[in-house]
Parts: sequence; structure tokens; C-alpha cells
Amino acid sequence: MLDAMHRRLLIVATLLSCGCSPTFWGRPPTRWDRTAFERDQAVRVLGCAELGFSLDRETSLTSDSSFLLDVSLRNHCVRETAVNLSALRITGRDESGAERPVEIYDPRNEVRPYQLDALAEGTERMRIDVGGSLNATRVICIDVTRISPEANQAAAAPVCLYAPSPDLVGVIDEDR
Amino acid sequence: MKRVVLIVSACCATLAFESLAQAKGCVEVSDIVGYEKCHRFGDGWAVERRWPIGLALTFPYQTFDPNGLDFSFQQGKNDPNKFSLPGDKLGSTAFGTAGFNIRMEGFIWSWIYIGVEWGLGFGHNQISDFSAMVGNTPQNFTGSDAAVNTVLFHGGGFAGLRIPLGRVSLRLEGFAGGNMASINAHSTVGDYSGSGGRGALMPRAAVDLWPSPNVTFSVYGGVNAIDTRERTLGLMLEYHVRSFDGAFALW
Repeated sequence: MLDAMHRRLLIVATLLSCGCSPTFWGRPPTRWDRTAFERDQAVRVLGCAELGFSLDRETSLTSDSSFLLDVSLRNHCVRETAVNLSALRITGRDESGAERPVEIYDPRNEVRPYQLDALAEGTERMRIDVGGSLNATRVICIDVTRISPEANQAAAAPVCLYAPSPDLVGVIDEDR
Repeated sequence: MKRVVLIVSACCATLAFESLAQAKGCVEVSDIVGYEKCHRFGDGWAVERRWPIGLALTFPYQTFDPNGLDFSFQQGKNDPNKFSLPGDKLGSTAFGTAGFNIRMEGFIWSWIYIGVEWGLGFGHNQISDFSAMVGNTPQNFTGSDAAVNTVLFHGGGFAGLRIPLGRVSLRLEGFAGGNMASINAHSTVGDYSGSGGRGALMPRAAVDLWPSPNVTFSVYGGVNAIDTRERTLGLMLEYHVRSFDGAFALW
């Protein structure tokens, strides 16, 4: 049996060992840590639901014509609200202004209509395929009006984001 | 030197435990929809992807009536000299204990839920002196003066109804299960532990306060319909996976 001093030492050592753990203090970031709400131009309030968007490039993807679209969701009501991200209409524009549809990569057919829980927040990172050269795509526009009846009523302007590239990153607010 | 060894050992034990936990669980490979291995679209925010369950820790004060029960006293598990004593001879109307319960509940339909709970209570209770035959020898017993001389084991299932009233909700529920009390007595031949149990059918009521969509603080109480001397009054802290358990208010 441990005497009192060793028991105290064991407790201290156990507490210290938490500090040894790489995941206790500095856990790696997860998708829940991302939020696109900082930039007002990329946020739309659609009744109870609030959606924020940001674009990113991901070199590890197998497709070379894809961006990553981060969608942050927030419900500021005490009741759940409908959100159908599969109804997002996304288009890409090239330098000449020509538009082409952009598809959400969803091989498991999991992007479905859901109820965003009361006062809940979430983030989804989705691959979107522009169907052509990434470098030729200058702007990605997201029409949010079909994602819920409330969104349809709000008739919010589309969110347009500059396609991320080393020399051009940002949000376009001219369409707001 | 011993300190260093202890600290290093504790570090290694923690790391080994974490490695084991990771090995047993799913290791996520991506955070992109369609590439994720352990998660699915909607996890964390969609009602449909949240289990309608709650996990709670309660801190009840419970009373247990020893009268009308036979208590089996023994020194160890296979004590050949164990003896039985009517609880009435313990001279107590009710043993009081304070402790904790762990409970888990799931909503099966709208505001109706079912669940299970298990817990322990600890107390110090006075009992009358008594005599009993230990083997062939009569012995006198007194109540143990230890700080904790009574332990109450509690467990069972419940079903209930939660009435949402905004940031406050009311609950009415019925508990079915049992309580078993163990009390220590002292004699010249050593300390004995006596235990007896009774079923419980307990209507309970609770008032919940929601400081956040997923956490409630509650006050609850109930009376055992089988023996109304058995009562419980407690505080409860609960985590609800779904915001407001799926309903904020009646209106």
C-alpha cells in the first residue's frame, strides 16, 4: 500500500501527466472550430437561420477542378428551422463573365434537408466541382433563396466569393 | 528519484490510455463531406443527427425505512454466523442518506421519455442497541459510530412527461426499481454489516431550468408509494443532446 506522501505524489503526477498529453491542452483543430461569420459580406440571415460562406483550395483532393466551400450555420431562434443545403445554387464565373454550374460533391447522397436545431451552430466543409480549370474560375456565386421557405421569403442576394488563388482572395459585396 | 519515476509512469500511463482509446474508436481522416469516415453531414447541428437523449447526474437526499424488512447481518461474504434481524428492532423510522445517481433518458415520443438510473447514498444513522445469536452465542450490538455507517444502493427505470414552458420545464415521472440499505453494527466479536431492501414505485416531480439549450439544472422530489416514509429530494444537472429536448414551449 502507498503511504500518504506517495498517494499525494501520485495525484500530483497524474495531474501533471495531463500536461504531458499532446491532446489535453492543444487539441488539433476540428471542423467545428471553423466559422465564416467574421465577414459580413459572406453571411446571409434567412429568418431564423444564418449562413456564412468561405472558399478555400485544398491540394490534397483528388480532383483538380474543385474548391472547398465552408458553410457555417447558426440558428438564433429557440425552435428548430429547416435548412436544405442541397438546394444551394452555385455558379462559377470566368474572366469573361460566362457562368457555369458548380456541383456539390456528394457521393453518399448525404447532403439532405435537415432541421437546424434550436440555438445550434455547425459547420460543413464541402467540395464543389467547377467543371473546368480552377484558375479560369474567378468568382463563385451562391444563391441561398431555395434552402428554406424563410430564405425564399427573405429573397437574399447571392453570396459571391472570389475564387481563392495566390493573388486574389476575398469576398465580393457588389451583389448584396 | 521516486518522484521522477512516478511522474514518468503517470505520463506513460496517460499516453497509453489515450492511444488505446484512439485505437478502439474511429479515427477521422478528413473533414470534407464525402471523405469523412467517422462523421456525416449534419452531425452536430441537425436535429435528425442528434440522439433524443439526456445524461444526468443527480444529488439526492433519500430516506429508507428499515421497518417491516429483515436485515441480514454478516461479517464477510460467506460468514457461517450470519443472522437475520427484523428491521423494526433497529429503532429507526428512516435512514437518511445523501449521495449521487447517474441517469440516462431517451425521448420515445414527443414529450414522453423513458430511462434508467443507478446510484449510491451515504449517511450516518443511529440505531438501537440489539442482541442477536451469533452462532450459538448471544451478542450485544450497538450502532457503528463511523462517519458513514449507512450505504444505500438505488436503481431502476422510469418513464415520464416533460412539459416545456420556455426556459423552465416541468416533469412528472414514475420510477420503478428498488433500494437496498446496508448499515454497520458493532459488537465484541467485531463489526457486522446488515442489509435489507425494498421495491420502489415512486411518483416524482421536477422543475427544470435551462441556462443553455442543452443543459438543465433541476430540483426534484418523490415519495415511494410502497412505503411513504421513503422519500427523495434532490438536485439534478443534465446534458441534453437535442436543444430543449426538441420542444421549447407549449405555445
